Amino acid sequence: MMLKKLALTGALALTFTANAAQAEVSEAQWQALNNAIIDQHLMPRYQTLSGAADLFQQQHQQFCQQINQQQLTNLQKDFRQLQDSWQAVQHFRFGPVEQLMRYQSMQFWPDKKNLTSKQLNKLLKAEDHEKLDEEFFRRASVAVKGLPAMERLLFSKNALSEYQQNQYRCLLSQAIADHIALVTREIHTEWQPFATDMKQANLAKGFYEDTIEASVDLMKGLVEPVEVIRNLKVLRPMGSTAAKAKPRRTESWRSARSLENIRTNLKSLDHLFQGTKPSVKHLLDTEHPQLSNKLQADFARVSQTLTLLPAPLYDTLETPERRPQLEQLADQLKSLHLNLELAMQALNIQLGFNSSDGD
Amino acid sequence: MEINRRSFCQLLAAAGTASLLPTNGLSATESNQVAFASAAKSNDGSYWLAVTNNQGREIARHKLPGRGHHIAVHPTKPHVAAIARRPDTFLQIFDYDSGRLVADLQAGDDRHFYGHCVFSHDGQFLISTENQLSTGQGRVVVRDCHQHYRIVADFSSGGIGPHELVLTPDQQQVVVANGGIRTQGRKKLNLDTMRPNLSYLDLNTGTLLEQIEMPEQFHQLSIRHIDINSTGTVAIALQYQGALEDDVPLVALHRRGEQLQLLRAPQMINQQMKQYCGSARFDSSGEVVAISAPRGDLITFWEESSGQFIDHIRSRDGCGITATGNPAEFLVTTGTGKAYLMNPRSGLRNRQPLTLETPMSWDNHLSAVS
Repeated sequence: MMLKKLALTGALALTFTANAAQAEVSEAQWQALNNAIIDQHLMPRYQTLSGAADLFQQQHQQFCQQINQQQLTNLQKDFRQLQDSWQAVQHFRFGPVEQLMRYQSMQFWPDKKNLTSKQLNKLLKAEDHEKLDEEFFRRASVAVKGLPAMERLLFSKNALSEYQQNQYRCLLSQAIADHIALVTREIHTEWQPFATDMKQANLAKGFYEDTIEASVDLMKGLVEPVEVIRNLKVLRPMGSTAAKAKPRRTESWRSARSLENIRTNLKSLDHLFQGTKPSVKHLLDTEHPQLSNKLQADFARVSQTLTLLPAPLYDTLETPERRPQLEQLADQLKSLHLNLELAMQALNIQLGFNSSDGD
Repeated sequence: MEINRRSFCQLLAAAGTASLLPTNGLSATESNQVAFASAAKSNDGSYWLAVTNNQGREIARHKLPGRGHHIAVHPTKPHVAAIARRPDTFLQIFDYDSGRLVADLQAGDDRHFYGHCVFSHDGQFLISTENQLSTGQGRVVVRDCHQHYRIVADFSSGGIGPHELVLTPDQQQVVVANGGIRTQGRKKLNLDTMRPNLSYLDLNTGTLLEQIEMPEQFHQLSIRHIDINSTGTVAIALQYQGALEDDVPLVALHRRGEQLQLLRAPQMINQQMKQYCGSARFDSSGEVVAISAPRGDLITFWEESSGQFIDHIRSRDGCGITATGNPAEFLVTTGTGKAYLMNPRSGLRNRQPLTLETPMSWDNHLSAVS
């Protein structure tokens, strides 16, 4: 048991005395970091995402006009690019992407009850041509609005013949492509005023009361995804042994991008940590050089493990001799997450509770 | 320390009578604040029970064996009870005046807690919700504070997954929110078949007096957090376990002998609440209900008599709520470590100063200490 009691007299009125010994990162430094992350990391990624969705939408139109193997292959390639650009910004769970269920609509995953398949089949069976407008998407299940539904249509075993034999399939597929383009455009457009608000955070107006509050949201995007990637993208499909692996639990296995997704995620997080000017790493360097170096090494190690792991992850999971590498990846992600948490402590950033763990 | 403790008690006393004594020497803002207790997490990841005075200044902290949830406040002694959230088993009674751990209890064999307990108004009993692991049945357990917290009653909660519980104004009945979710550790096992209910039980005999089941079409609306006012109206904060896009009510009111009154916020707000309400509290008049939606970064306010939605106030990761002494006014704490005074009638939303030894992330529930 431990008791700490502060006197009511003014003598001990110093707030957060425990941290007073360390040189604190100034608000101006946080402000500079927020600006750098928004301008150099976040906005370019949402812009890329919207651009990739626009391109995909256009390519999809061409595909529907001329359905053949070549066109399908091209469209699959564009889809992968779109998916990559989502994976590169998937780590932010605040702001416009969290409004109107956009985040879940972009990627409803993990899909534990196989809702994507059930809902898609229902739509394909009904063949309701009138329905496929924005009003429909407002009411539709999140499972049919985004990338996993698109992937299922484009990468099913007999995708080409299914598209060729069923005109409605292309209409539905196009409608989803249109919807993704619309949503990503909205996210990017709405981010512009939101970014201004975030940069000028103050108590009087806007969503953010102060600079640090804005920093907390950005830092959550750095720390929490590491644990999510480890739990959902690595451990959950891994199972305890190769024989017990569940490859269909991997993300984007149909388009064979499970491993590439994780690589993209980590590359993006690495950039968020040390790729901007100034960066989170810069803030750590002065007072906590050891931690800063540890994190740099953590990112390098994870990146190397990911490079050496053979794709597709679907097969790798079931290969006994690859299991040590996968376990190593999980361990390295754990170390990275722990050190990021320590970094947030050192920088006096309170991430709070994991919002997905409610009671 | 003696002096400080005494002056703290004097401040508490002043706060308790603030509304009767407009010129009590405290400034307007200060007199509005309440001393509070809350479970919390510090930046190094450790879990605490923290108590502040009515100036937002920390007066005690106690390290918990795990993550806490709700803190029950003894009506007369400087005691608070920190009870483990699912599936932990600790129950600690802490004296924030002396800093002494009064009792360090464990859930019985085959049991775990759900994060909620209450003291009876006379301070004799501590009543908690528990899970009987082998059967999955919810239990209500009564401990006698005068007999070293010996268990004096242990009866069915009337359902699965009991969560928050409150006593009726006459102290004769316990109202239990049976969330309906069977769990193993943190895993939910029966979402397809769950059927939550609100149960009124005789505190002395455990007899089920009235039970309101969630209607079939809303069987995935978990009844989890409740409060009760002096007329016996129960306010309910719901959590929906179905699809994110489903348009469902997330708030409810209930009075004995009546139907459940399910309430929806205006569409955009209801959607923004993300199917998850965290806490329900009446104001000091019993006429206004505050329901927090931490995932939607907002607090909603409702009129008890009509069930009308009054307004919402933005609150980033705000979940803990407690009434202040003023009508329609609440203190709200957040997972990002802040505290706000809010009043939906006046639009008040004031950040309150907190003076803590180290920063704390406030857990889901907030309790006024008085």
